[in-house]
Order: sequence, then C-alpha cells, then structure tokens
Amino acid sequence: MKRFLLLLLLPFFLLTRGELKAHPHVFLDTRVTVVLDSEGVTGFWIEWEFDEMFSAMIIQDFDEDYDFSFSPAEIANIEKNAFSNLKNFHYFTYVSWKGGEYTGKKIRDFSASIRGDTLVYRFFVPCRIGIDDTGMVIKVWIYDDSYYCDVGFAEEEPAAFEGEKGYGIEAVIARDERITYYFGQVSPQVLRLSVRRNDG
Amino acid sequence: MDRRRLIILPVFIVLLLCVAAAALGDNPFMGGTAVEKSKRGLNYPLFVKRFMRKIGLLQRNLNERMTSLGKEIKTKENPRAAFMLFALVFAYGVVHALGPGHGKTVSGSYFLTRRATVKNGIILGSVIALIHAVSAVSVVLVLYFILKKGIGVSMEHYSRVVKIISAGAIVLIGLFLFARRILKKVPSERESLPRDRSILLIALAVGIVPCPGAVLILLFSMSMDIIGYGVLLAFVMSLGMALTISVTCCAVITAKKGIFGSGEERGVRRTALFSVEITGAVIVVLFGTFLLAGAV
Repeated sequence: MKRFLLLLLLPFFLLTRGELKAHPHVFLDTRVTVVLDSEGVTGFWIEWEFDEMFSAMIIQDFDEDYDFSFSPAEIANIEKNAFSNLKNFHYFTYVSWKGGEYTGKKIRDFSASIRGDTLVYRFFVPCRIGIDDTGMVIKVWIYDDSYYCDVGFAEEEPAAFEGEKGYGIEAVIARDERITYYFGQVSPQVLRLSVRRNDG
Repeated sequence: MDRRRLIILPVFIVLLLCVAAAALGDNPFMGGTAVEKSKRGLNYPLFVKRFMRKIGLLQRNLNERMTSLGKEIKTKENPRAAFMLFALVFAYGVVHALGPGHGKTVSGSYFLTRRATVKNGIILGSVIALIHAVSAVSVVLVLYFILKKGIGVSMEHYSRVVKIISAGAIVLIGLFLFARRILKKVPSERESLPRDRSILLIALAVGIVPCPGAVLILLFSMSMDIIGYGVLLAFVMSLGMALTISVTCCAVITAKKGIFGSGEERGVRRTALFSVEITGAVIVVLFGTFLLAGAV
C-alpha cells in the first residue's frame, strides 16, 4: 500500500510544471487611467513601474549618456529594443466589454522615464467603447501570459480617470479566478469598471 | 568507450564557449516570440493557484528587500546588511528553483532510468546549480567587459542558439538513456552506479542555460558598482537552487527505491521496473523535444 502511494507521487515530481520558461523574474506595478469623452471611453493610459533590478538593467543599457534620464532618442531606442516586441504578448493588456474586446494590436505614445530608481513605461491603448444610457461594465486585465513578469495593480491609485465629467464610475480591483494563464496556474487581477451616464 | 567520451567532451566545451547567453532569452520585452493565447480552458485548483501566488509574492518581496539591502551596502559598509543580503539571496535561490525550469524534470527523470544513490542526486543537483551560476557569471562578465553596454539586448541575440543546443543535448541524452535501458543486460540492482563524468555531462546540458535570476542580480550589482558582491551573490543563490534541485532528485531516487526495494528482479516487479525506467527516458526525450520546438 505504501509503495503504491509512493508510485502515485512519482508523476507529481516529474510532471513538468510548464515550460522551461518564466516564473517571474521581473515585477511590475501597473496603473490604468481611463480616458473618456462625450461618447464614452476612448482608451486607456497604461503605466508600469518596474522593480529596481530590471530597472537597473534597462537604465544601464539605454541611458547612453549616463545622465539618469531618457532623451527622445534613448526612448525611441528603448521602444524599439525593449518594448515593441510586446506586440507578441498583447502588450500584457486585455480589455473586454459587452460586445467587444481589445485585440492587442495597437498602442501609441510610448514613453519611458526614470522615477527615483525605478523605470517607468507609459503608453496609450486606443479602445473605443460607447457608453449608452444603460451603462457599461468594462473589465481590464494586465498580465504577462508567459509569467516572465509578475504584474499587480499598484497599491496607491491603481486607477484614475480623465474626462469623466458627466459619468458615474465605480472601480473595483479583485482577483479573477475564472481567467488563468501560465498553464492554468496563475490568475490575474481584474479592474472592473461600471460606467454610467449621470445626466440620464 | 573512452575515446567516444573524448569526442563528446570537446563538443560540450565548444558549447560552453559559445554560450554568450540564454539568460534573458525569454524576456518578452526583447525577444520572446510566443503569441500564446491565454489558456482559459486549463484552470488549476484554487490551492495550487494560491501556492503559485504565494511564491510569486515571496519572490517579489525578496526582490525588493535585496535591492534595498544592496543600496545599503553601497552607501555604508554595513556587515549586518551584507549578511542579511546573503541569507536573502540564498532563500531566493531556493524559491526560484521551485518554479519550472532549472533542470528538475530532466534530472529527476534521469534517476528514474537507473540505479543511483542519494549522494548521486545531491551531486547532480549541486553541479547543475553551480554550472547554471558559472554560466551566468561568465556570460555577464564577458559581455560587460567587451561591450560595456547593451548586455540585455546582446544576450537576446545569442539566446536562441544556446537554447537550441541545450535542448538538442537533452534529446540526445534521452535517446541514449532509452537505448541503454533497452540494450542493458545486467538487472538494475546489479547495475553499477553512475559515474561522475556522466553526471557532469547531464549537468552541463541542463545547466548551461545561464540562470536569469543570477543574471539580474549581477546586472543590478554592476549598476551599484559592487560587482564583487554580485559574483558572490550569484554563487550563494546557486547554493539555494542546489538545495531545491537536489531535494527533487533525492525524492525520485528514494521513491523509486521505496517502491521497488532491492529484491530480485523477476516477474511483475521486473516489468514494472522496466516500464518506470523506460518512462524516465521517454520523459527526457519528450521534454527535450518540447524545449527544442519552443526554441527553434
């Protein structure tokens, strides 16, 4: 019996838990700014603040004049060599609402900066979501499917709004156990937005 | 036999030399290619996900504390901070190797295929971790002193080659283990113990891919101008990883012994043992193929 139990344990040790990839090496805190106009949502500003080790690597590689800030040329270089490849990873950004979802194809206005000792990326995800009188529930997930990065919403001000006048917005951050990535082993956080018009 | 080994060895040395880096090879910012659709179908039980979450959080905390201690060492020579940092990095190594990768599958399966002692398990686990770190340190130092800049980016360019070579070597080892088991004439209990040289070859094939965690620690200590510490830390981290990988190997060896004991190899017992050993070899081949497919 004991032997039989041990036999059951064996596959547990051997089953490859995922690929030889990943498990987080980089940690980033994310903030989302929801941008609205009179029609509804026009898109999201996404900001990532990286851990200091990854920050040190990027700063060392790309701050070519060692002035501890990024010139436009340096930012262009970062975008080309340490950001644009994320198009293969949906820019870590997933948005869904009733009747649609962000396809992860396009972003614009990428910028990189140094805040204290940490590297900050910021870019805009254009995503038109019309808000009618009945309101709309929008969900935003930010995670790295390959789990090279561990992504979490920042503890301070994880969500902000621009042009929200005329709207009533409720924002809640929770862990979304229904969605999994990295071979079903990790679930991301979700920013759940309920947006409705105030004027009716 | 020895002549054949003489041929294999230089191949691996060349391999070692051409390793200028897989470390950040999976870095999605720079070179990852996988357009992986979210696996929404697969969903592990909550307790597994919570465990993974805990490991993730633990690494996040360790990472934060390591960087702040590193700064403390840099600004004032503080022996307590240095000691704390070493302890943290060791713990980081233990936790880091718990995740997938770092050779647990290949080394565990290897011990399924043959007779081995706990000591063999500890040796293999430790050598893998050591090579993992040596590889990271040499790659980073070479790139640093040659290129001065752009380490992260230049590593990307080499990463594919190294991963393909490592995966190829794993497939070959798997095939060799398979053939060996099929052709074997002596029963398992009278089989000789693995030689240190063959253990070294496996460790080399698996550990040659530089540890990304160690690379990040090194790069960070470089940016703080404490390279000496960085190298030391990379090795302390590999001690932590050695612990985890060795425990996995020993668990397999002990479990196999516990199941099959050391009685005579006959009848059902013999068939069962044979299937387990063949399974081990097949896992290595499949795993290597899987890695190869991912790397090409």
